[in-house]
Amino acid sequence: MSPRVVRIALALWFCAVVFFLLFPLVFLIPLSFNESEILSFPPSAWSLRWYRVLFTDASWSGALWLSVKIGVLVTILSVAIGTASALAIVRHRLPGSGLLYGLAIAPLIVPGIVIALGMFMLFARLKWLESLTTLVLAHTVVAVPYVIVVVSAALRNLDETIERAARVLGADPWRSFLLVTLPALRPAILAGAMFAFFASFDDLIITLFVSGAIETLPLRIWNDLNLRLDPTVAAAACVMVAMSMAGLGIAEIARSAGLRRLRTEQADG
Amino acid sequence: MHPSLAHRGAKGLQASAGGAPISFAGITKRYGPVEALREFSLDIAGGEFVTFLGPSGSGKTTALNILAGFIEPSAGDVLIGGVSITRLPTEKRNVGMVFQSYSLFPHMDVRDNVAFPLRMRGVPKAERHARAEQALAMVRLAGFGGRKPHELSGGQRQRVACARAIVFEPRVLLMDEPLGALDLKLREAMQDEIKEVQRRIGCTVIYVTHDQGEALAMSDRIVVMSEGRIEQIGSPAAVYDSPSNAFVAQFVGETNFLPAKLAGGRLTFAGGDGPAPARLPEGWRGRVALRPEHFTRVAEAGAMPVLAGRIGDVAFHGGSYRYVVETEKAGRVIVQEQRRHGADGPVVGAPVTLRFSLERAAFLDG
Repeated sequence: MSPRVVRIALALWFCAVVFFLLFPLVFLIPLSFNESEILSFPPSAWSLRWYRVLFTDASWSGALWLSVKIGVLVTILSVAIGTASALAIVRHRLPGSGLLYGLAIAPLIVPGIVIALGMFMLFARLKWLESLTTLVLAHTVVAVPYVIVVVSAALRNLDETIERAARVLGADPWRSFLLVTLPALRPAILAGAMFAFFASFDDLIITLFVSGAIETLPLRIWNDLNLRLDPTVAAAACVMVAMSMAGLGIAEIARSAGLRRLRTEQADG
Repeated sequence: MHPSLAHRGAKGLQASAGGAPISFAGITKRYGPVEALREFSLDIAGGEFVTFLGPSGSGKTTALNILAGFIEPSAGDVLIGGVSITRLPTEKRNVGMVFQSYSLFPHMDVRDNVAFPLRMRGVPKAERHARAEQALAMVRLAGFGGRKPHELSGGQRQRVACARAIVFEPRVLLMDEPLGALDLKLREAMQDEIKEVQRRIGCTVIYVTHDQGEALAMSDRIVVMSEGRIEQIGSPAAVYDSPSNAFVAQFVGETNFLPAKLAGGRLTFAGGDGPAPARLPEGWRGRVALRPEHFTRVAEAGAMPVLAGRIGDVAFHGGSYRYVVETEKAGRVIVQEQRRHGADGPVVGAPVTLRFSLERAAFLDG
């Protein structure tokens, strides 16, 4: 086959994959702007009424706000824990750091349902269920690995001699970290923070097991689907999709900006 | 460069206290069973330019990193200005340092990079920016303060790194293969610039390199190292003319070795014999070390020792020729010959007679 044919075939294949991935959204987006009370496709008339419900109805807007709040708390915790862990694993070469790294990112690989079940049993015994703190902690467990993966990759690429330069030129370890290491890691930390936020914001399984009566947005959608089905679900889903795309977009821009800077550093280095 | 800025830069930095003497006293560094540095002792005078020269793994960088405080020695003591700094954290040692990889802070502009050591020392912003500008002028980068490191060429980056290392007028400047990442022409120009800067501020410089040409061109003294030990310490001329052993002879410059022995008051070696040098004992066995420029191509043998052979590859070097002679009795010999006006150059395949003087040779035991 000529290279041209291969290229066209690959392009078509790529389009098919993207279509397959985004297919659910093709239904969801029009549904959320539907005038009708029932989820019917295609919509007969257009309206923003379900978005109005989403942002004004206390149970919906409360769930959205709660999800954002939990997400922010989880992000702050994950960035602090994840960045510190990455530093410990990459820079300080602890004995068995490979094993530590594997354990730290295990929640990425272990099935969510297993983690959720484990947490349910643990928190039930501790009588910690139905608490906001517990939910934040539970989400943090699955969010931290994202920060560790992204930040430790950036840290491995970061030339250690710039930290040495800072030290020998008069910075104590703390100032060297704040003024040199941290700014260099900023794009990676931002990207990790985005992943961490959405690990929490999107989570349903763990929330189902440990949240009790606390209703986050995914849980609200889930509960709504069990009771009745109105297009507010679609509107909520669209808001989540929009937020995810914006967040991952920011993360990707930050990540590639960081990579680009690193590359120009090394290209002439 | 703006001339008045350069002038001010020079004056501003001349006020420094000059170079501090440095002593390494019996430094050993072990990594498990491996000794990266063995009983390393060396006294360096204030204002001296000393080069640690050796192949990778020779311990030269280990010695420098111990002085900088990046590595703790297993035994021994390091003194700057007569005061032990072995237990002092890196940031308190007050030394300037330039790295092979430039190691500029990528998120800071050039001015903030250069001003960084002053910021760490609590110098107010206006003053540190003025002093950064002076230091930049000194490395011929006046007006580059607003650029980001990634907007500069490799040579410019290394000059910024130099400015950053000297801006706080340290009495000791450490340079870890600073020109290793630059191309040849730029390296030579930067050698002159580094020497110029050192002359102006008078600091003690320890310069680490594996490039013997750089070491010979820049140093007051060279410390030749291999496998964690000092092989020889001396001025560039002393190290070049009188290498203390075969390693130094081979690592610094090029050397031809002729196995030889002294018997009956005559030195005999492959291809001939000559009068015995006074400093060698009767019965000595070893090698005569001859530099490529010690040979002269002659029409016929005279009183001096000669080697006969055939010319192999010839390389034209502008002012000189460098060629290989396959000798009948002493194997391959490398010869460097100045071009003389009107004289014929060496011809590949031609028979040749090489004359040399034992007075300029070095004699290596064993």
